[in-house]
Amino acid sequence: MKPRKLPFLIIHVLLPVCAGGFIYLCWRNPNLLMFDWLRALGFEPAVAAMRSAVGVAPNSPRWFLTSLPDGLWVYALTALMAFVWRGADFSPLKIFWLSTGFLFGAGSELGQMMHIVPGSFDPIDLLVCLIAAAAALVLTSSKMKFVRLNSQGV
Amino acid sequence: MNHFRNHLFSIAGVGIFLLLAMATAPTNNNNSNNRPSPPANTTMFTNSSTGLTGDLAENYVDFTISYPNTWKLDPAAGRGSSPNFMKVQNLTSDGITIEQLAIGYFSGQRILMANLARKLSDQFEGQFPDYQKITEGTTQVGPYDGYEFRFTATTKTTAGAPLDIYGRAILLPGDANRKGATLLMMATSESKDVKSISDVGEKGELPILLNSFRFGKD
Repeated sequence: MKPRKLPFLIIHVLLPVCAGGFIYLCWRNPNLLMFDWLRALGFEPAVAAMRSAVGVAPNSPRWFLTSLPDGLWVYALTALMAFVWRGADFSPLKIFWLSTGFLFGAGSELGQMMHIVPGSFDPIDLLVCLIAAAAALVLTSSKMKFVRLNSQGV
Repeated sequence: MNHFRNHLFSIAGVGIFLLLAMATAPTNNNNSNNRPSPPANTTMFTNSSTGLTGDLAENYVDFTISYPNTWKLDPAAGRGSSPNFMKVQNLTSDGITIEQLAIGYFSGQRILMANLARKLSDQFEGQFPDYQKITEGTTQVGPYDGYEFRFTATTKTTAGAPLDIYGRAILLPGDANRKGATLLMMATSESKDVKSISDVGEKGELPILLNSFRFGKD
């Protein structure tokens, strides 16, 4: 892996995923599969200690706890696809892969609206998905250009 | 060939991200849409507006819930100035609470749940010694989406022995046809099964009650 690829993956993929995961681990209700998995792996005491240490998110708006993690997930997936398809000519397949983050995020929300997917529809979640996907495309495309220019010695 | 590799990486990437998304799905513990059959050795409580006065009468909500026969129904709930339609407790032979559930009304809108949960938490802070809210967020009870917070506190038994409290308050919003409800669950260190806030409504006997809760004719 070239040196510039790792920082890209860390900043645009790993960090958003970790930040979203941190919000879930610390402040979301523990009736989620992830907590069952962590319990099965023996991490329950560590998670409980972390939740107790960070306490309640101080005066955090609801979107911080519910919409932001989804947005970070969409951002990271879109950025990963932008990374995988960097340099490839635009084609319907490339557009499809670049859209997967938004498609899954928005699809899940619309599924909730139609009562196909569990959970309650929230228009803010939908908006955050759109912003996250757009932000990932804008931020990563400029970064890609920078890497490509540098690799060409410009 | 290069695009073939891109497709492979894309499929793997999407797979990993879907696994991450799956991890945030609710467990099936309290998730059934169907009205469950009353479990064995339980009594079904059906809320009734008969005899209710004041706020309880004004915010009356139809619901049913089953509780183990060994639990005691508090006769004071649903009367006078009680904020609850019903309250049931599992007590030790010394009368110390092991687990309890109280159900009151919630007349707020879905969008205000987080704010109202915080107000309720502030109210508890003045009632319980060493009160500490630990988590808050969305939750699900049977087919109903709600908002909850979990807390710890301490108290003393009538004999003066210290008792840890693990609490969980759930707000279930109403809709055009009915009011919502608040479910306040508490367990104490007298419980053999509940050892932390994560266990409230998950271990012990409270899950029997939580899984059986249904509004009106649902």
